[in-house]
Amino acid sequence: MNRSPIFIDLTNLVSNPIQCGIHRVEREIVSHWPGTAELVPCRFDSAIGSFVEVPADRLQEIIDGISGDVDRRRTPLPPGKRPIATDDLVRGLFNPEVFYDQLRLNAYSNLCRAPHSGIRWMVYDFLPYLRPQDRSCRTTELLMPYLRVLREVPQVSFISAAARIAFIERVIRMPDRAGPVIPLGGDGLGMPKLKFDGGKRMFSFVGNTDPRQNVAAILLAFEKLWDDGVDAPLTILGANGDQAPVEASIVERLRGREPFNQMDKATDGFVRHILNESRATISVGSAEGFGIAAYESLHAGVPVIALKGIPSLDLISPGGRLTIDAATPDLIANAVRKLLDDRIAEGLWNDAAGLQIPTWKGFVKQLAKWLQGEIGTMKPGEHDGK
Amino acid sequence: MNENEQLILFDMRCLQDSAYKHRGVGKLSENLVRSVDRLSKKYKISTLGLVDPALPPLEDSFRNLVDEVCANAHVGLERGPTVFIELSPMTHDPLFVARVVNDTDVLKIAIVYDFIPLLKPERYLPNPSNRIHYDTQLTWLSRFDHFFPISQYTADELHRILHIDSTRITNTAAPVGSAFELLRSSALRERLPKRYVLAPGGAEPRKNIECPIKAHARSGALQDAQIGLVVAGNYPWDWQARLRDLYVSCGGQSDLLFFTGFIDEDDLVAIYRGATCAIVAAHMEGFSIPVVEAMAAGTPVVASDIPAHVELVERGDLMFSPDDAQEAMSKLEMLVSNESHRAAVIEDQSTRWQRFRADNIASMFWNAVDGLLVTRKPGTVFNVTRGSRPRIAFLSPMPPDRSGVADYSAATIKELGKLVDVDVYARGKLLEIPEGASTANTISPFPFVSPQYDRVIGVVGNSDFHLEIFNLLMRYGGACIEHDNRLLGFYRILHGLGRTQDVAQMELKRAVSCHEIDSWMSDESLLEATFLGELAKSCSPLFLHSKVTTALVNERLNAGAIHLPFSIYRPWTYDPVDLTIKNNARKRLGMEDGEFAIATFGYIHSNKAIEEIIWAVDLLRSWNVPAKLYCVGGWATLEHQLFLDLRSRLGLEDHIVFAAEYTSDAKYRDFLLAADAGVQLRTHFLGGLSGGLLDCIAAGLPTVANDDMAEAMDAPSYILRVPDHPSPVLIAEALAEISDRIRDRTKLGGERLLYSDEHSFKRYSELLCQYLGFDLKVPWRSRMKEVAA
Repeated sequence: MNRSPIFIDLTNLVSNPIQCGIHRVEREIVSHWPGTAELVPCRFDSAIGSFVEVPADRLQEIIDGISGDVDRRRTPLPPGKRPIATDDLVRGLFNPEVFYDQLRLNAYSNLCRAPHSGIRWMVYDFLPYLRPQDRSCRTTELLMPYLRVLREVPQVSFISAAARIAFIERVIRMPDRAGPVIPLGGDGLGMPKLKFDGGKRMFSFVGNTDPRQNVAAILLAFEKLWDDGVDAPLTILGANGDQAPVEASIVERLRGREPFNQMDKATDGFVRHILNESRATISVGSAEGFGIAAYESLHAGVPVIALKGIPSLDLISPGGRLTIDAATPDLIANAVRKLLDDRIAEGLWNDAAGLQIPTWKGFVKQLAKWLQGEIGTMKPGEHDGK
Repeated sequence: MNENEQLILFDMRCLQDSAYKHRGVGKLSENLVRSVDRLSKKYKISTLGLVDPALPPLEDSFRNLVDEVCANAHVGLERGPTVFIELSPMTHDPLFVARVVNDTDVLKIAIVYDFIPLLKPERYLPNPSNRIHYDTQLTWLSRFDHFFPISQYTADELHRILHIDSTRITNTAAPVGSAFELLRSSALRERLPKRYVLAPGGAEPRKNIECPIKAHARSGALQDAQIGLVVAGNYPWDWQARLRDLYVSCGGQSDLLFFTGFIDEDDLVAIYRGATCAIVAAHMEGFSIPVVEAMAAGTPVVASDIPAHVELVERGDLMFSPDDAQEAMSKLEMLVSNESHRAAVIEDQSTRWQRFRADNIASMFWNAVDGLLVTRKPGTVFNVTRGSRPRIAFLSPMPPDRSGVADYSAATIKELGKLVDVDVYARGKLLEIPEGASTANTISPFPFVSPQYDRVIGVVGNSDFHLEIFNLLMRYGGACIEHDNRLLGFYRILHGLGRTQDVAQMELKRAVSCHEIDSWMSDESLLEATFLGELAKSCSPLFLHSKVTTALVNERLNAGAIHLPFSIYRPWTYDPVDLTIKNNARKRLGMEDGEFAIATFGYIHSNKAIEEIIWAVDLLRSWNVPAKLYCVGGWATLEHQLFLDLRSRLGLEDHIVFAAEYTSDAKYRDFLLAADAGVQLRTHFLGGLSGGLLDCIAAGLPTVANDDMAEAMDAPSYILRVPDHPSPVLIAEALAEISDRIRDRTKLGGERLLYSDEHSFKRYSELLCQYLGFDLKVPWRSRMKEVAA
């Protein structure tokens, strides 16, 4: 058992805290840390080329700033007092962030090469490498150094089985470096399990109208349903994406139709409200790193129309969702029609209510065990979701 | 088209040109084009206007007179019976329409106005260049089948100057505007004296306005009676001042002289109608619109005794010598002072102008054209129509130009020459006639205007090698084989920013900023436009080698571009997938046993994703694949230090080889034989092709290529596709798959052979002929037999 402190690298969080998935994960880790070993927040100080501790009060201030009213996030961090000793870092430095800063990468590379290095990283997905068409061209110089260092990291954990498989079979191809899959929590919205109400007919999609989310197919499906006289309102909770002209034009076309509603700001409060009003949510993105929206929907007991292969849903037992093989308007419309049948819908609601969805507390507990060396490599699907 | 169908082709350049479009030439031209449907009673007609992109665009009122407009005179064999009406043969470049004029299958008709420059060469043809140009125009004019001079005088001149037989001449005339038959008010008329003499002129010395000025000023009767002189025509101020001085110096009262300046037709009619009489004193005219207009307005007119006036006025007592102001004065005084004489003249002239009504002229003209169509026997200028082998002019860069296009054209001509007669036109004088060609010539407009060619093909690509051919295609039209998927550099560097923006905007149908053009120039992966719009508009047909680009151009530009699959120009005379041959090639290149040799062919440039390929090699080696990359091609730019640095940074010096210089064909082929895998990528899309990928396919070398390129080339299954945005992981993954699964290319033979056959120059030439309209099943006579006959 590792009694030494575990350093957690929060460089991005403390230098540019925003409401993003990775920073959410970091906040949960810091908030729920249950380990016997001390968790010491640190950051990479590029001025001195080494890691320095982040004062606990300063970290709390940043975390409060993200969720609170007072924006104190941008206050410059004071320079690091002194570098953390390399031996300490080698014994236990954990990186939960994705970054491309060459100096920081070089620092990790050196630490990984030390004898008996205990450096550990958490990996979310490999979408930028495996689905380059979703991103701007010529990002190689930015992205590849990260992978090059990743292949030197002795132990890596994953948030999904899909990411772990990609690591082992496609990107790094070093099975001995692949640690466990530690699923994220689905209880971030803090909602109780909802009950089926046949009077609810609204379907919702949470996320921006990004082409990867196949929102055009969702919109066209509902347009067809409405043209056919089907009573099934749709709410999009998210803004129009910059690179989504097709989606924007359909949204513009539908804007005047009564059953259609779009809200730009997808705050937790809005998401809770929408889930409360929904008969089901729709999650048919073809390039999901994890798929937190579907996960949180099921945690709240709301069924999901889901595209096959969403990583988060592969982590939990079947039930509570209608899975479609392709995100086409016809398949989505068919799924909506099925869900409008109270008997089918109620069955899915009941299934969803019975699902055991991992919690954030469970995630951090599992992570702590791995970081403290209490568990090693796990097979996909083997995780403590409680 | 059947025999009752007729294409009527009009040269509409005179209606684009502000010097003619609203004057006599324009009025007659508009009247004839507008009335073309008189032929519809007998024929199913379609109309096409030829316009010159270098002139101002046609006004809508003229554009709407024809079914379509075309930016050059290249009209294909399939057009059917055609009549070409040259509305103004002596005012614009005759070469523009020369291909039509030389086509004996076309009935060619010219409207002839005058030969005034020959009457006063010292003014109109002051230097040898002008005279040669005018003589050239006369030569081209003589090639028309039938002529419609605007007066008997011009008809006589036509016979005198060009020896045109009278059976080929039918007179026509300029029409009197319809405004002369209507009565409208005019503010200008209110400002003029109660009684005045009208002198229609124009800022041209031959209009001889000095004669009426002197005659009026010297006439005591006119001066005493306070009868004014109104000079119509847009005379500049300094000219007006000189004329005023002349008027006063001849005894005229300055307040009796008026200049109208530019006036519209309604005002013109009003001042004609308000005049006591009119005087037209021109020295030279082919026809006189002012004389006819005066008659139409009911204003008695006296005119100089030049032939064009004589045939209109036909009365010696109303004519005077243009150099005799005294005589002109007496004719004026007679009209003004003798009311019964004036009335008699009005009566006499009231019917003379009727034949110049627009309707009458149109009817006479189209009836005459109909008569010509009935008796016409089309010629057989095209080789194919007289049963000979088709003859093609092929304009292209040729070896020794060091370009892929030049090599490709040479290979094309070798096969094409087996099917048709090919005359090559190259950038410079070729030392020998290329294999397959009949003759070798230097690029010029000649093939575009010569009747000896059934088709003219220009080859264009994205470099300055093609500028002259491009310009000729723009001017004269013709078939075009376009090699590249985009002409960004060609436009930006050779045609300037403004035209580059215009062409991009035309294609993308949105505003394109200078900044955007610059960003495309610096990174073609951002490029959105093909810049093929002008070629698509001018060329018929436009051949493109890429399936993807063809679809894109046709969709964006509503064009009819044709996909002509790219041919293999490094074919194999032996089996390139033979293992022994491969092993021997590996030995010659010093490749190690067990090494997974990857080759990429062509110039080494960032737009071929070289960085990504280097990173992919790094990944492969981390996956324990013993990869070694050979970049077979020289450096394309000075940026190569970046690649060297990256190789060094990744510690791949022993595993990546750059051929820094031009690779010989033998060595290049050795790499194709010896490699285990190829990788050919592009970071600009729009259907870009790759000669390197084609070589890999022909050699049966399993290769990784990006989607766009593989699709554009209809790549076979042993070409593994990766997304267009290059990812080293996916490139490495595909290469690893080749290493694991299809490294043994002996199993790919069947597919390779099929592809090679479908992409051979033989097949390419057959398709080219087919698309050009040549039926290869017809047993043509060879030219040698024809010459002997």
